[in-house]
Amino acid sequence: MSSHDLTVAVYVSIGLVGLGLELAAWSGRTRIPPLGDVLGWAMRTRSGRVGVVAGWAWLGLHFFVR
Amino acid sequence: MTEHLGRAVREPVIPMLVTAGVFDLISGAPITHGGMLIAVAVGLALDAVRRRSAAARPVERSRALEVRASPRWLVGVVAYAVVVGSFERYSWPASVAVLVPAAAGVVLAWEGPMRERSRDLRLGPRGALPWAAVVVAFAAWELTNLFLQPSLTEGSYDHPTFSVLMDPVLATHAGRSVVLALWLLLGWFLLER
Repeated sequence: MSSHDLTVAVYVSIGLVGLGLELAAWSGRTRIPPLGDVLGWAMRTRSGRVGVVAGWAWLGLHFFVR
Repeated sequence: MTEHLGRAVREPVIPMLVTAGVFDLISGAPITHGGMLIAVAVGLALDAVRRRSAAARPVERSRALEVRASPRWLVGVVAYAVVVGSFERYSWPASVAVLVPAAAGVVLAWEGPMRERSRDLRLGPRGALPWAAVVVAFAAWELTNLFLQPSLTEGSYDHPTFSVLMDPVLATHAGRSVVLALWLLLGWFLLER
């Protein structure tokens, strides 16, 4: 396995863990909250709300804006 | 002055935004990207100081922007993504077309929640831990690959950052359109929290 393949595999693994957490949350059999609830909790204050959305805005800038 | 600074820093989002902004700047990204994060952090810090001031009183303001999700809005998102996706990446038309919704999103977030929560979110820091671990893992792996690059400003095939991995996807019209649509939908999802 090359370094590139290993790097991609780790990214994919992290994504799969996130997907697993969301599925576990929706199954109702665990106490893990859905991502939407966690974001809602983090965004209950102005700083949390603006901070999260600023991160989203940065994503758009990073991929498309000069 | 020190007390005001302490109040501002106690908002954890502020140092996080500053740190992200600084790393973005030193990685060679345009100054507007990291600068935006730092500017938002400064704005939040000033707001935190102002809100804790004894003289501050809550003021009811009407929202500067209103967004109502509907099927027509969804069609608009797709049409927008198809049109803007046809622009060359990092071109001025693409830059303006993305800057506008990005700025609108931050303004909407600043003004407050879009709607009343339908249920009380009884969630503490412990509940968020698994998700925080995923975010930290992603950030740590991203930073690891950033520092394994030949330099902070030069991407690497052997140790690609997420941005480098996205380059082939964003090299095509279809790829840019899909990513733009997902980005807009993510923004709407966040603003609906």
